[in-house]
Amino acid sequence: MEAKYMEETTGLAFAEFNQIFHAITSGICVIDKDYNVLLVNKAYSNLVGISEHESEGKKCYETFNNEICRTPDCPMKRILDGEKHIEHEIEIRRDDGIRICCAMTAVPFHSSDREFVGIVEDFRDITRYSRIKKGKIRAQTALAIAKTSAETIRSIMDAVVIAMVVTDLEGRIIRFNRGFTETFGWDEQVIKELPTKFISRADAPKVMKGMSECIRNGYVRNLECSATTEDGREITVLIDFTLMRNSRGEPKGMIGVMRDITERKRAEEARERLSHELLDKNKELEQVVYVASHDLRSPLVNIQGFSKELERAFEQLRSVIHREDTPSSIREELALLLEEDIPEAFRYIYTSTSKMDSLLSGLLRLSRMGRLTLAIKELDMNNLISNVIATFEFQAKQAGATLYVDELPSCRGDEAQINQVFSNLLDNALKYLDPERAGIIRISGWKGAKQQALESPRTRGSDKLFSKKLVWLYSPELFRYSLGNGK
Amino acid sequence: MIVIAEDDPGHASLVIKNLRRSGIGNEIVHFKDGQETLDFLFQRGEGLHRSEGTPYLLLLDIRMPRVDGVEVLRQIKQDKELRKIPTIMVTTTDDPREVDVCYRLGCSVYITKPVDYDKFVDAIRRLGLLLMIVEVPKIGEKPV
Repeated sequence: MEAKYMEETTGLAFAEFNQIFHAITSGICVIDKDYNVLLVNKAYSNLVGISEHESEGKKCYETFNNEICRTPDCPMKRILDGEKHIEHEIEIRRDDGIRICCAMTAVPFHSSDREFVGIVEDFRDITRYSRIKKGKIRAQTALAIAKTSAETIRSIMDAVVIAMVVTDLEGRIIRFNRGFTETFGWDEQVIKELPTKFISRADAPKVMKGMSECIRNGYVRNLECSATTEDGREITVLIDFTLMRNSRGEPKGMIGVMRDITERKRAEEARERLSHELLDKNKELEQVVYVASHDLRSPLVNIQGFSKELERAFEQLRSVIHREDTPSSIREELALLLEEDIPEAFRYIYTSTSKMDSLLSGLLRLSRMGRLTLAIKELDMNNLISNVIATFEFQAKQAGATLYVDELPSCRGDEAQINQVFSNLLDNALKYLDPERAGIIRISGWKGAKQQALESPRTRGSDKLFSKKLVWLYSPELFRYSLGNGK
Repeated sequence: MIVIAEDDPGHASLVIKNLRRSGIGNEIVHFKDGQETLDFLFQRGEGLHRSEGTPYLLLLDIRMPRVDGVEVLRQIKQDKELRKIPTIMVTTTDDPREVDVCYRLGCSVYITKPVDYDKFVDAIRRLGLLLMIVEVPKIGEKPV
């Protein structure tokens, strides 16, 4: 610009104006309304990295590179539109890559005759300020996130019903949840305390050891401890500790979860007690049955024995009476007694005592059932049955019965017990044969889907009534059935 | 001499009757509990005492008042002389554990009393036959 023009407009020596202009620390840029750069000062050149010569005379958007050029935010445009004072934060992008944050102010300036000439832009380097501000924003954001996370964590912790605590690496409680207060009754009092504040003295070492283990291995599980609630109740809790790490993976604390198992323990103890009571009661009953059936056997021996003695005596009497020298009138008088009444009495006494005997045997065996161990294996039924038959050969012959045995399939069971069952069956079969008919006993078997061997004796009375069909199952029920001696 | 330890007089009577019927002519002495039996054998107390130099055979019931059969068996088998006596356990119990205990203690034979009288008689008769052929050692005789 011509010095003369400057002298006329400012009223100062041009040199003085120049000094002032270039001394200003903000970058000043004067642009006319055609976007030509009229004047720039030293500070401006330093800021944008472009010398005066390069800037002056050129279009402002050519040399000055920033994001608001050619946008509606362009200060010239805005001032042309009528704004009087623009303030904007902009980032100057220099050619050498350096970016500078500036606070820009722009105002219009007029000629003396109030004609609009252009604008004056003022640039203040606020990089450092901006950086601090950005840092502050970052910090504020981080804090906000942290706060939300803390909130989130707290909400989650409170939503969980189980008692939870967060401790530091020494085990002191930093945080607790609602579940904790509901379980233990404690709240603020536990902060900065060790869990041993409410854990029983006996279990405190267990907890401390557990926490060390947690720090060593990352977790510890199922520490069963006694604890005292705030209102003095004793409860049992199961505690888990898990190590908590920071973002760098370093241990920074522990999370403790405590489950109240008092109820469960109580139930378990009650069940144990009941279980024992049951076993004891069972044993007691077994004993009673054993003793009773045993004690009943003794008199039974006498009844049987002496009735047989009676029978003997009777036989003797009978033979005396049947002697030839006995008057026939006496023989006639006594006939009914001798031939019918007395023998009949003996028969009934005998069968009844036999029945009592087998019932007692059954009872005795029942009382020992608990102790008896069953050895279940695959049994060769042919072999087993032939053994049983062998012991009854004599009896069968005496009873005039014929035994038929078919080919028998094998089955699973306890040899001794099965032997006993068939012995009992055969015994009964032979005892209750109808004297009118020749007895036929047939033992046969077939393998069904879980059914096995059975026996059908022809016995006294109608076949339907007494012929039995026994269904065997591959299960212990089998043996319980056998205790009824086949009846 | 046959010593019978049996608390039930009815059983004792039956046993003796049937022993006799099977031909046993020996003297039979009957005690109604373990204590009496022990006193006899160990020559204690007021009642009968065993005489020296006599062979004995013992029929022991298990269930007896005061001292039971198992205890009598145990005490006998601990005595140097008395342990020579052949002991036959005759009892209504057929609990396998009891049987085991008795055999362990050293009884010669264990017989269960069946209620079935015929079988019972049969068992006693066989016992009688056995007794007739068994060589019974003399107790307490000083060796010549």
